[in-house]
Amino acid sequence: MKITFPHAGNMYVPIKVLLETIGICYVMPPLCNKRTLEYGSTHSPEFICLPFKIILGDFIHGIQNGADTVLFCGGLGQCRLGYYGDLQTEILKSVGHNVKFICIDLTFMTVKEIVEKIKPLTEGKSLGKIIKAIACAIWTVFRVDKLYRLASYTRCREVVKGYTDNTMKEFHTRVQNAKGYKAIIKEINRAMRTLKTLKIDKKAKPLKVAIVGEFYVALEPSANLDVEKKLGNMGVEVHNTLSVSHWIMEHFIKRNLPVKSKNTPHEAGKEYMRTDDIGGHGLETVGNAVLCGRSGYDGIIHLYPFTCMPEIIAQCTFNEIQNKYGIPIITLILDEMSGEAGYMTRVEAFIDILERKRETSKPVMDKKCGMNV
Amino acid sequence: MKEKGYFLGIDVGSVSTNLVITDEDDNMIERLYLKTSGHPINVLCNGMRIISEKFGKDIIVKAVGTTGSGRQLASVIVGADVVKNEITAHAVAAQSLVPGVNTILEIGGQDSKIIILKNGVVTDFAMNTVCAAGTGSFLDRQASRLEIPIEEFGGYALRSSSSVRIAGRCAVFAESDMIHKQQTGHNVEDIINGLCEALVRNYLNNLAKGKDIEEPVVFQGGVAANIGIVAAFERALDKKIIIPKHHAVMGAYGAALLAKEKISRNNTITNFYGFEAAKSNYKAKSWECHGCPNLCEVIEILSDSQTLARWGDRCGKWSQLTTAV
Repeated sequence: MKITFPHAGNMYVPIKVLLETIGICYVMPPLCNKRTLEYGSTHSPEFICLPFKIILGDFIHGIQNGADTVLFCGGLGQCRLGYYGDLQTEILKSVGHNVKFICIDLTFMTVKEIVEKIKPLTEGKSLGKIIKAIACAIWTVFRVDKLYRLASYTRCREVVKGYTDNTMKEFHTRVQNAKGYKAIIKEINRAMRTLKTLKIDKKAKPLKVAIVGEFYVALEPSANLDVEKKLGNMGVEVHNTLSVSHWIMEHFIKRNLPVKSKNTPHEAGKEYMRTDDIGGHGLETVGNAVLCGRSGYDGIIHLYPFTCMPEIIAQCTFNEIQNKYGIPIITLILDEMSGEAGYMTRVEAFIDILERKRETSKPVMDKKCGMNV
Repeated sequence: MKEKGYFLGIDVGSVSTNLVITDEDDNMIERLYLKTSGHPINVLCNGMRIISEKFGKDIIVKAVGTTGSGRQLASVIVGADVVKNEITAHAVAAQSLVPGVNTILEIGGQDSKIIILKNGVVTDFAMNTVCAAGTGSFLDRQASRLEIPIEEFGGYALRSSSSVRIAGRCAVFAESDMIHKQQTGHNVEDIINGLCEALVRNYLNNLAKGKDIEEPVVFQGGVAANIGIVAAFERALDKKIIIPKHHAVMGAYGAALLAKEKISRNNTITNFYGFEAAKSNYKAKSWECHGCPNLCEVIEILSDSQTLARWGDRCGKWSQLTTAV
């Protein structure tokens, strides 16, 4: 048995750890490229959201490289992700790929649930080993996300432009060739060390921008036209409010803890939406925008795939959030288009606004100080 | 005595390529409005040639700014000092012609935008997102379908006594609506008036949603020449709409102003290659890089078989190659 799995940003690193530690044979599809999208959109319903197409493309890539089992994470809730798994199974069947489809339910994720779902993969493997693998994978998630945060810190401050990007590029090449938990962690640490030794401009005061929106497109650079990197190279510090580690914290660790705690963005979002769920990460989007508005960010970039229902609902609150917290928000809707000019125009103009806003708000503050004296 | 300098602004848009020459006092000396017709490089070189034939030896270009969706391309060919997005360029231009402007409506060939200013600073903007309904190219298409020259299109709308309701949400819906209404016997004037209203309705619903439109309101871009649309805007907003004299070339004008600002602030010398550059033979070439699974589409700009620039690659393998040379 050989399994394959879809990409979502840096998620492949912990998945590699999980599968390699248990000792499951797998093929990883290449990082999303033009062909992935071509495969995916050929076989997808026309109006489905972009993540569906890319994920399906990943599966087909994996199957072509010899996989006979697909590992996927679906979920319940009021979003199309709920039927991704079933629909993709049917599509793969109809194009002649008779593969086994394992779909882990993300909504109520517990250790027991995972162990049970991946049972067909783990026959003959000891339970201890599986639990150890899950723990290692989760630890890897946190380490990789930390690396990404560090990269977004150094990218906008580095003295010689391009060093951070080169380090991250090298990291991705090396980590794909690394085998096993220890080797992968070593690569992460190595990249972190390199980033820490980069010469940075300590006096720089970059604009701070947060990314909110749909989980997949916010994480997957090929879907969001690498907006994080581009902003960083424009000298903007980017904080991605969505990350796999954050997600695991909310949906896995907190859920399995005996003491129940509240989801911070959800609580913050209640100011505008008094409801439990609008599907997907809709409530998180609203909540994160409010939190960023409160905590002194210069601007917010909202990303979602075309036709994403939860995010469309979330977007409705932005006018009020903008007015109340005085934080500019821009929404970018992503689809198959690879022409970046239009997006870059908007992003560039948005950054111009943030810069001018900061410039003009400074003298006002100085005046106030002067009056106090 | 200080020699008199001039500034060149270039806006390479989807439908038109505009070139503007301004003097030290921001007066527009010359403006060119050329159809891009899918050949931005040729049209740009052509425009440069026209200007150099007219002024050639008489003017010294002190700075060049480019804007529009083809700004990067134009910058490589002419050697620009400022490469700026259209939104900033349009805002700068409108502020210079209409001091104190608070709202800028702009409808161009492929995109439409709204820019909100407060105390002379852009505070908010919106651009059409996933659809080009309600932009110049759609009007162009409808005009040619009805065999009416686009210049007269707006005049028809004003002659209408009652408008026909046309769905403005989507270009495809709008067109089929128009055809159905025309087949049931509505006259052309009313249909065109209906289309103008639909376009304005779509614009205000999509872009201006939740934004305070405060006077003075400036309407610019190629579509501002359409008096039917202007009238529809005035009806819908119940506000006076100001059309600047150079409404069609505002982007290029803004780029020239930005270029002047940068050069005088930094006291540097322009990167401008000179009008001669337009005479060499430019070629664009594109290919798919097979260096990794990303399969990026790389674009290369050649001038007489010498590479000027490459872009489109995600890893920087090709674009870095040219900056090194």
